[in-house]
Amino acid sequence: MTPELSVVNTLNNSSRFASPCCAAHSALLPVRDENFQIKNLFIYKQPSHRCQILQISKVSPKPHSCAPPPIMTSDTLTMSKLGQEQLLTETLLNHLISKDIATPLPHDSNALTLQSHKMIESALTSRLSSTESEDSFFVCDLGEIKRLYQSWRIHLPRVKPFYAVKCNPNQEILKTLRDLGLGFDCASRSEIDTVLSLDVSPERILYANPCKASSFIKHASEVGVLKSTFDNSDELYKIKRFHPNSELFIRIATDDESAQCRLSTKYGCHLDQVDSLLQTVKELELNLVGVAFHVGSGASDYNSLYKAIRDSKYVFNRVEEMGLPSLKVLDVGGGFQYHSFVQAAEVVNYSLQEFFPREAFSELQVIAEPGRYFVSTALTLATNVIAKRRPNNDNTSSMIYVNDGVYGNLNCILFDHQVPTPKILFHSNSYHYNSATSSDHCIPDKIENKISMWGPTCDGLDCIKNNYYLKYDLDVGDWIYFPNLGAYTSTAATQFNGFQQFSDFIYIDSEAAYN
Amino acid sequence: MDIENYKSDYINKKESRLINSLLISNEYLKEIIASSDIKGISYNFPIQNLIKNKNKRLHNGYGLDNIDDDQFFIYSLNTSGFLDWHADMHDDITPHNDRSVTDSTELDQHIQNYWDIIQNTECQFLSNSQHFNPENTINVSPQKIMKLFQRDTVSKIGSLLNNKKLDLQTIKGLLNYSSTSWKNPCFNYSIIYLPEYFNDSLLYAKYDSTYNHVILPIISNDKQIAFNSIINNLKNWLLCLLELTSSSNYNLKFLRLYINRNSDKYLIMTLLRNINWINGKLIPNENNLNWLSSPENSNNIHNNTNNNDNALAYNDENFIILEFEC
Repeated sequence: MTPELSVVNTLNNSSRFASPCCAAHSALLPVRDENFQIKNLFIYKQPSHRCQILQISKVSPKPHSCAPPPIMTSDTLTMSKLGQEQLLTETLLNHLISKDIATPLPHDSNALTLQSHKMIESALTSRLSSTESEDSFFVCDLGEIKRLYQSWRIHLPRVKPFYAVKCNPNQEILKTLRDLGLGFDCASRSEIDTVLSLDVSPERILYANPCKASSFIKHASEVGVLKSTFDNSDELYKIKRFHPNSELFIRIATDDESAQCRLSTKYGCHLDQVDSLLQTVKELELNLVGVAFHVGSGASDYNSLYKAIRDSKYVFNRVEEMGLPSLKVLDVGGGFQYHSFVQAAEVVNYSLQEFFPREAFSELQVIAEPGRYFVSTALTLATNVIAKRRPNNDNTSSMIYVNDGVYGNLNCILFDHQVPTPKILFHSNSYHYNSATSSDHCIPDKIENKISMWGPTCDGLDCIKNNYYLKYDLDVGDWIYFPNLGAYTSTAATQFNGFQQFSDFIYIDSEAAYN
Repeated sequence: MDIENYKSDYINKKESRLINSLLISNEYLKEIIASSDIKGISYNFPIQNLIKNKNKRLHNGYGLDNIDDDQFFIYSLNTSGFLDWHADMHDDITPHNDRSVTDSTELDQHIQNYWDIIQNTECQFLSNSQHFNPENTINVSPQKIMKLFQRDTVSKIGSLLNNKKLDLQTIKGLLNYSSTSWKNPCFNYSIIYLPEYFNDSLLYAKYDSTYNHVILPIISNDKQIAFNSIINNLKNWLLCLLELTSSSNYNLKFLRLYINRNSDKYLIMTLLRNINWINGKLIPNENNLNWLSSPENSNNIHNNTNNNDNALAYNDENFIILEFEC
């Protein structure tokens, strides 16, 4: 059968939006059929389960597949519906989940994610059955990262991503992103050194630490990393002294009130400081090449993206008016999240078109600093239950201790305000991967085991989950897993400190397997 | 009074004396502190300075050429236009490099300052051993614990200084040794004075060839410390400490910041929330039970002849520890 290629992308029609914020309440829903290879099938979900199929980049039958089955369920979602709105029923949602085509994300039962659960489950269970080790470990699906990059290219064709290494500096992930052609946003000399050691040229590195000591700047100079951000005059004088050939980006503050991690309260200059900084750039004869901003990690209010691009245009104009060389690069920062990527991308595209139309800014290079978008859903963490306590001496609640916590791979709870969702992997000699009812935030009808979950350090900070409910009453030796735990999690496991947290990684590549 | 309160009083008294002796009583430094251009002062010394007699220092193999004397550093705008640390060589504060001509009273005062700084640094990690070793039933008063602590500190520093068997090579090796842990005494101690952010509270620090361990004072809303200033200027004072740690005088690779858990939660969460952005890492507290059960430390405890020594314990549980690459 000849592979069929078809792309429909109604979102490119920016006239649909009166303002950037109207794209809220939708979700990216990539799905995969088990019999057919369907890659990058995105359905755009709106409130009340209205959904719209946006694109299918490639459809082909699996090799050696017998019958040519229809796409998924012929009665609900067919190729003929491509580009059309239709009701995404509960039945279809359940069908997609039951067929292991998609799974609900932890915090939004209406959102679905493209993950190869069969492969992840296989990796998890193989590990548990093949070793007595109780150490926590990650399953990392490099194929997920590749798919997300394809999605990036589709939705943000004007924007070249510079992956934020701080988000997850795992070397296999970095190599995968290197091979895909991404640049890298580094926050430290060790991150720079790590990326350079992977044969990445310095031109592909942006040094975006907002708190740079002189030693950092000297190091960037020594290794030939030119791209760097600044937000105050002190930094400019340091750069003039130690790295005068830098290609500088002025970082402007944004409204990041909705961000998971707010940044602008500390980083980025305000617009009323721009003129003074530009004047210093001019006096010091430094090489200003662009404007950068960051709406905060995990931002949810897309108005801030729109405003930041508008403010960037203001800086572009001021540069011209003050007689400095024209700027060449706009850095739209990070904060992109998997489940809201499509909406954020729409706003970026819309805003770019409004303030930096392609026709007038054909030479403009647009870059971004995404982190969690690329890795969040690619990693699954498995941890072992090492202790259990009944604080009230009855069966009403338990304190579950696992062998990983905020000082290890769950440091995202402190650093990133993440709320990881523990799920039962192994209990009572059975595996329970991807059981939709094994845990819940709320008190459900049939999930009766109230727990709090703690890391191994006996430290009050080391609380993973409070007031949580599990389907089974866990015992010591059982296993828990945390899906979608790739962002800001294994950073503590990196080099250079005396308490190295060694995490075992099992790598799978669902893209290679499907291909 | 429990050990924590007693410890706090002990530190405060010594700190008042240090501020008076090192900063206020010196007219030149008083002027510097009053100047709005000066953002910080650091005073540091190598522990070899505790040896009064120059001949003895030479005899012990420390030499004079490769050992820095105590020194003041000033954080202010440099000629290139940015804030930087530089040694202040003004005659009025250049310390007693030539001990032969130094007045003995003055020298005694310096020695007293050194010990105050060392003890105020090490004291922060002092704890009642019953806190994490309930089986230890010896009941020792806080006063007694502090006396034991003083003796223990002098003993540890003395054992580093008085080992006459060390040859020069070994000494050099020791001076270059790298300690990730707060537990070990270091070859250099310092105080850091950042009045713009921390008012009159001192930051205590110790360092070897790789790590600068800096202990922040307790920062809370109801203390005299300019709480809002610390929060709002987080980037500035952190950058100041990073610059100090990586300056040519220190040339260290890592800054470890010890934040007291009794500090305001908002400050702690603000620091943690931004930590990935400024390339910091959260360092776990050491597992004291493991430490106690290690043969080396166990021997240290059991070799003490006085049972009261069992009451002495050091741990880092009072702190959230952050590490920054410099």
